[in-house]
Amino acid sequence: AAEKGSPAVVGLLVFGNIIILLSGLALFAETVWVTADQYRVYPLLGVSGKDDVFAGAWIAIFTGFSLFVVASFGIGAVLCHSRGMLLMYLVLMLIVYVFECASCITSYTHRDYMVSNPGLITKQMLTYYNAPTSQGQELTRFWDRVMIEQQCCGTSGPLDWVSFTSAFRKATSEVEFPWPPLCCRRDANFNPLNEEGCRLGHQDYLFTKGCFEHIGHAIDSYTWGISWFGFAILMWTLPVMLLAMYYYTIL
Amino acid sequence: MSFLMPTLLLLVLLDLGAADFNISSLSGLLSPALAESLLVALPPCHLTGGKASLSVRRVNETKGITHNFTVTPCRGRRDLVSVVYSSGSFTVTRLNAYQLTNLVPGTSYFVSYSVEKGNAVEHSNRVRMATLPRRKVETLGLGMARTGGMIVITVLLSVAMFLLVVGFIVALALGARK
Repeated sequence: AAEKGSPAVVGLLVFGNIIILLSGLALFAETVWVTADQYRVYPLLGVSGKDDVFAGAWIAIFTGFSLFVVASFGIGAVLCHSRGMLLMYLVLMLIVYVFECASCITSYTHRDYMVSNPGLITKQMLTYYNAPTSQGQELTRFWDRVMIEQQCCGTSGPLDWVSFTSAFRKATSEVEFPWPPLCCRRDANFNPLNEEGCRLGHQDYLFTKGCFEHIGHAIDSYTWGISWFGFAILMWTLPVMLLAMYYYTIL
Repeated sequence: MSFLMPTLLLLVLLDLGAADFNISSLSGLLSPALAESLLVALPPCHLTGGKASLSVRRVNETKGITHNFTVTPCRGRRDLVSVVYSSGSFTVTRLNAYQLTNLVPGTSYFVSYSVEKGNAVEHSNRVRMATLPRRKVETLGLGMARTGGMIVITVLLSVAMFLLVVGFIVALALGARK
């Protein structure tokens, strides 16, 4: 019974599991990067409640490492021609597979909520920027940082602040300043180049670019790394597991 | 006398239609029209020092408001915001346009000048300017779109999970029979 099972199937299974273990390790490392959030966009997702992009990343850290461990175990099970070990491998792999599917799907769905169009981010910005609540303070800090670092203003541009009512507009009338003063171009000492020009909307003294491109790029980077990479690993793992199930029946 | 009438009528019509100067458009601005204010260029340089009277009225009303001011001097080209004095620590700027404030969002206004310099009075053409509408933020639609990628991933992964579960059950059944 120990010598049953064709060598071709064994070879394919070993090869398949090696790829899975390498990919699992890569997924683990990459989702640690996502969780570290170098673009620091978490406040935006947290306030809207659509932060499952990061939940997907946390799940993928677990499943990435599990894939590495279980695939190594699988190689052992296949080479030992042991039915018991192979069954254990199949059960564990199935559990990890389901978790990884959940991670891919939720991460992509929440990304769609946030950045498939600028509506949600614009509405959130107008509602919370300069609002006196704790969420308002968090989001104000976020937008102030992004506007300075990326040299942009608003979601689609400074006219967001003019075309809609907002918490900022309640605090500051349009005559006083139509958009947040951080939208003004500044010199190296952080003084506005020309405050009057910025207030009137002169293009030399105001950032006219919107910040949505940067935010969308950040969230997309995270999502592609979790969703599409996870999906690719799962599509490879499917035939390997079906082959392992066949091998179990002929063992 | 009768042939003089059409000529007089023509002259009167010409007088009403002809503007002494046109209100120029401002360049370099994101938008001269905001929700509650409009930026109007100052009268041309030859009217420097004159008493300008800017009249604003809503399109479907007859009475409006008049703003009086003195036309500021020109120094070279008339930029919107010109730097008058600049040192290392501060800059003094002068505004070369007139900002009409306290307007209603989303309405059209007729704007025209009448400048009195010395003995002459010059009129500008009548320009129609509209303020931007201001919507309530609650009306902003979220418009979440279901992208193709999400549908593909969900469908394919659901099919894969189903295949695996079915395959597992079949393998258990076939394996147990041995």
